[in-house]
Amino acid sequence: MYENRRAVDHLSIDVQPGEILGFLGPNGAGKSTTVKMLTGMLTPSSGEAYVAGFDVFKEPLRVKERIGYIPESGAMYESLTPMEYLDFVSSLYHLKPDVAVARFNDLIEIFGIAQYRDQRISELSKGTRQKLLIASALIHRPEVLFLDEPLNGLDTNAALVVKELLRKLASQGKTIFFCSHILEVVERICTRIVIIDKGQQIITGTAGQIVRDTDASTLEEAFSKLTGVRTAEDLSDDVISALDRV
Amino acid sequence: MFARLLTWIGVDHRQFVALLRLSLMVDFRTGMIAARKGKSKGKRRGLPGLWQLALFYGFLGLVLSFVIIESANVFFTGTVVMTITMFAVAMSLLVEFQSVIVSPDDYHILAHRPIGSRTFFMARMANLFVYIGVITGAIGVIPVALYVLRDGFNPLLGLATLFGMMGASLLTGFFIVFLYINLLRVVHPARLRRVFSYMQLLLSFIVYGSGMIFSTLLDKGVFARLVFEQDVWTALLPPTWFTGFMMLAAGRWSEVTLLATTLGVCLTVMLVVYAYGKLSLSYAALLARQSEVSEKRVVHSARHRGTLPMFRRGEGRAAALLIRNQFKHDQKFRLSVLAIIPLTVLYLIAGLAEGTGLADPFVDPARHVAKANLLYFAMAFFPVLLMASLARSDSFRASWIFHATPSDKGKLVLAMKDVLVVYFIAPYLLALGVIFSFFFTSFQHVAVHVLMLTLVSHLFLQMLVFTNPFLPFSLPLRKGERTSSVFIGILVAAVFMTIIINVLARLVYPSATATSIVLLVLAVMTLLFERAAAERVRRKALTMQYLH
Repeated sequence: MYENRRAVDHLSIDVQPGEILGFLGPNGAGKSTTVKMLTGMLTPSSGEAYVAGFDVFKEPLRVKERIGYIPESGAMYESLTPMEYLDFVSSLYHLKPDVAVARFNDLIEIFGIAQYRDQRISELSKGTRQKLLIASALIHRPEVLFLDEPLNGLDTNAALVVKELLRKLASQGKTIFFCSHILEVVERICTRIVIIDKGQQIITGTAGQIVRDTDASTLEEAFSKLTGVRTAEDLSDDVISALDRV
Repeated sequence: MFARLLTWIGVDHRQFVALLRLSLMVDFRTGMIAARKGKSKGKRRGLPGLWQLALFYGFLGLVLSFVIIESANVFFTGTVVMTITMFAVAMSLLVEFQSVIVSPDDYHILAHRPIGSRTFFMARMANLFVYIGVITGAIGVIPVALYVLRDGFNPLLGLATLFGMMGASLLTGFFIVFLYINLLRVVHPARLRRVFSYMQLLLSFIVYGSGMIFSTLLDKGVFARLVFEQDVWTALLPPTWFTGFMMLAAGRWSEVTLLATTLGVCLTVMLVVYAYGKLSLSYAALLARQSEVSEKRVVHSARHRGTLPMFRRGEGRAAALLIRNQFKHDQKFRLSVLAIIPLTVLYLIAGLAEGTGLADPFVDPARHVAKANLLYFAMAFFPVLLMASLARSDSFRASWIFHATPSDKGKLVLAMKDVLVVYFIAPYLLALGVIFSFFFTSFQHVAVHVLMLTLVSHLFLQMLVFTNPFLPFSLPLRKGERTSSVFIGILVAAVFMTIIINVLARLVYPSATATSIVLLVLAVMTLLFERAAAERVRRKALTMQYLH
């Protein structure tokens, strides 16, 4: 229940290791609420959830030790530097200091943020902050990754690296829960897709299956049909006529 | 040893250290971030906020030392020390460092990390202790030293003072936690933040006011003669619960002292127990959820009705809408503008202190200048304050809109000045006019004087725009820089205003003709200056760029 309404209802999802699940839905469909529940950030009014084999609501700490999360909000402590932030995060996961230092040195080098290591996070560009957020979600080598719009603000090269990285992590047996509005990306990297609307699951399958099942020609069109959104053509016509008002 | 103790009570030592270090860095660096914005990368600066804090409260301790030296009454001086300490801790926690208690950000950043609630609670507690310790220690250094040395050498009294101050601070700190937690159950966090900001305004009023009262009382030797001894009724005052420690050390205690001190200690322990389980990540989650739920507020439509023609279209409308709405919604901007109110009220009180009124400058110019000079000081300060507040904002990045739209930046700058005159300076001067009407002999005098002051203020604002034109809310906030520029502005404004008021009251007002001529000259000057300022602003506007 969120603001006295049911944000997520009768949602049943099973994601296997090595799978990249695309979790889609229109704005306000309940995607972020679902992710918050699965990461132990929100407690549902009823139901159960298991992540990495542990009950999220009974053993939240066991779950949290095994997950990595990239929130859409990109919230970080603004007054810290990237090095301080990574140091802080690795302490929370009990990484050995020498391992942590080696990892975050490598990560900031690979992500191209080494030159900003001593600058405050508040001073970084959106893309650099996002890279830091990704590094902080990976630093403890989580078994399950929850990614809410992970490509936000990234340039084409960085986005390519992240997409490839996700594929490799999945091939290592990591489970990836991927929320995004960029359907092309979801179509390309996700092994399976779940679309939800008004808190309920409305379809699941591969991109191809969903397109076929909805008699659509693209995933975009299928999404539009399934979530009851008026066609793009209708909406754009309305915008044009609104602008024509004198 | 410490790590083992923590582990024994179920606290994760490593996470505890990381969380505590993080809280301290976040708290003491807040406000310093903006100062680094736009600067190239550099070395970390340690914890400057901590030193600023210690310095400020150390100064407060120095002020308290005058009372301790002045009065031999330990109960009285001790109670004053405890009261000021409690007040300082309360205001700091409420106004500046709410995140010490619990911050909604914690939920967004930490809720998915494997942190146990006991670890989080202990880290918060430690943060609160450090914070309270810094404030109390800084206030206490000089008073404690004085108590040790004042009657021969009495280290026990010094220790008891420190102990009492720590107790008073802890009680206050945990009472604030109690208050904050319970208020947030019924009040939206945004509204609470607004209330706390107004408390900041109240605090500045109290600080200025008590400073004035304090120096007057000190001058008159009131503290030396004051009789304030332990009694049953004094036990009703929370600060005296902790003065009890000092009375015990001084060997001047009674049953009341014991009872009051026990009450203080018990209440503190009860509040600490209450705080356990509240300073948790689940509580941070509640805060975050409340913050996400939008506050129900009445939204007024932006219609033209009631708006002056100059603010109905184009850059004028944009500037008026922006500044008025920023004033409504941007707490920092609103508070920096409203800071003029306590200053004006106190200077007015100072002018009226001897009970002879402000006098009519048309009738008794010498007395008017003598009584109202501080008031004019505040009046001259207002345009400087407004311009300084309008330049810098947390939303400075949004100023791209001025550069990416075909708006005339020169017109925007001038419109901004007009908005300040119409919506801020004119109402302020009208309010002063109402006050003047109680002291001036005729309404005509009030009207002429207010008109004259409006023209002078406008000219002053024109000069500020002329010398340093900028787009509204287009520069990042820089702590310290604004204070120094405002300080220089105040000095210039004060000199400027003193000359103007003396000339007006002593040379111009005695003659109706001279008054009319000066009004006319000021009006012409305003028009000419408007042209000159517009020309310069237009030229400068061509070079204005979006650099963020």
